[in-house]
Amino acid sequence: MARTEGWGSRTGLVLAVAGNAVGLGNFLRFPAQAAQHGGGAFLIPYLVSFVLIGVPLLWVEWAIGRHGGRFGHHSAPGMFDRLGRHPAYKYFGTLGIFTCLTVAGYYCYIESWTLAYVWHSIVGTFKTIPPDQFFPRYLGQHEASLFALPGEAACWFLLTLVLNVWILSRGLAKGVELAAKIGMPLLIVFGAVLAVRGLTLPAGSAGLVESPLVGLNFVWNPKPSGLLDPTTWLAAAGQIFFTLSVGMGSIHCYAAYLKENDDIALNAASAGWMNEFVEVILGGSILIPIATAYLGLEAVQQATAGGSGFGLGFLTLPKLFLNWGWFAPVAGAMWFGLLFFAGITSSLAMGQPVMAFLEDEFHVARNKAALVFGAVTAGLGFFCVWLYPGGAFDEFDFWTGTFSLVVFALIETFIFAWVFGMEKGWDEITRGADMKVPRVFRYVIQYVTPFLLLFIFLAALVKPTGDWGAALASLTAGHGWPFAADSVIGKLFHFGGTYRWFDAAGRGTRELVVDLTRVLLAAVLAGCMALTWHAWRRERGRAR
Amino acid sequence: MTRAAWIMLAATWAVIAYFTIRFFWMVLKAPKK
Repeated sequence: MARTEGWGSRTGLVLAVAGNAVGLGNFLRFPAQAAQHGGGAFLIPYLVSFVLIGVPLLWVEWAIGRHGGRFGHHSAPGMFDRLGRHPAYKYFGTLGIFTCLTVAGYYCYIESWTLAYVWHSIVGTFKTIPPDQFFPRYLGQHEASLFALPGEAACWFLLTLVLNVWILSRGLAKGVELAAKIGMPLLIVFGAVLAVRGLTLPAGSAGLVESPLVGLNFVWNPKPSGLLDPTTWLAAAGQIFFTLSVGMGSIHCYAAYLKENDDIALNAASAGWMNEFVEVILGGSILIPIATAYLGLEAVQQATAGGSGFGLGFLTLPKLFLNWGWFAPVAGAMWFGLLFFAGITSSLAMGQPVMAFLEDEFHVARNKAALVFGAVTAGLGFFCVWLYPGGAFDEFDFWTGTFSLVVFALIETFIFAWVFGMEKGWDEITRGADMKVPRVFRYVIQYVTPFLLLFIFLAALVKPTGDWGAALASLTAGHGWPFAADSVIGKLFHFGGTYRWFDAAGRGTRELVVDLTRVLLAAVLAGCMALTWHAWRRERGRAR
Repeated sequence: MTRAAWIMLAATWAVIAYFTIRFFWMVLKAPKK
């Protein structure tokens, strides 16, 4: 299909890809993960993982994308179909549509919270209602109920979706690229202002109980014992994997709009390092230092014990900003504004591959494709809104936002390095490159990255309760493997609780919601595969 | 902040800032194809 759409500028493309990678996790997850897994010592496995998993995967995805774009395919099924001869490859590529669609469903919901919080920070809602009381009320949560009917949250969610659909319908250059050109610089400025303000809080300020540097020390003080703990390495590899938004199909799609001899090596490296800048330098300097300054180290250690700063970001920080006097509404708007920009540049990157799939394979017009994406995302998102207290949201996040990404990345690396072949693959990565790509990466992509991804996959599959050493001891002593409730196996078989769909009073249980969510996700995956099958069948019919 | 924390912070920030600025500068300065 002839296509005129493309990027307006190279800087815009790099900002869009960096914006895709920069998400809420850069500010909420990274500092908590670093603090919990060895502090400064976490950064060693983190940077090693960036070089051995992150950068190679970025190059692989850009290369698959630009290669597929040459054949008029801007979404993963078509791209994968061109990597090898077997007709099954396109179905592996379907994961690149499924993941974008399902992650967008719940991600746009979180994105809408940030937009709502910008508004409530400006109008001063948190002066009268403490954020920890506001949040459950906003989500429409009621004690012991699996359902939520949050009127306000639903309205902000719809507004966020309309905004996404409108930007997507404007096309790549005037929509996605323009949003990244506005959003990314603002995000960096907001982050820098908050980091400087937070780290320079004068001693004796109202409400201050510690120096913010105590919080910074919590994130950075190296605990060398962490380096010997496999959990630290797994956490670091996992953080790198999720922060770069690899394994989704978005990067492939963005790269597909490049020309055959356009650079991909430098673009990928630049976008990847930009994400690291935002995550490590800005993300590590806001949440924990400010929270520690006002709550003390012990409270922050407890709040981040699970490796997430989500509670601190939404429930605590808006309250702490109130200590900043006239600057409080500005700080709140900046904090949630930067989270919103981080969110929307990522959700747009999830919408574009779905639209490209409809445009390329079904010849649907751009505006119509954007509307279809919006409608399906709304349907999936409202399922999460409605059944949020029942666990639908967490289930989406686990299977589509975590598990599916690792599976897709593992498959794509294997197909690229071993089916498409490293000879052609290396040529694809280095063709038109504006930087010299070290040759050692050829071997890293072929041997090291797939092995490490397989390791992450297996570790997630059989993650034990407690540490790995104790689990191995349990196995060798004949007591079996202690699967953690949040391992893939543990999740799949509902470990760690009583499994029943209805309680004694005949009311649906959390397990019922979890299983209904899985049925929905399986139906979406089957639907994506059926559409792929139909598109290729139709194309074959036309060719005859 | 402990001395070790400052060293880790300074070293990591320096590496990340160097590569971010270097690569983005190369993108800005690369000739159009």
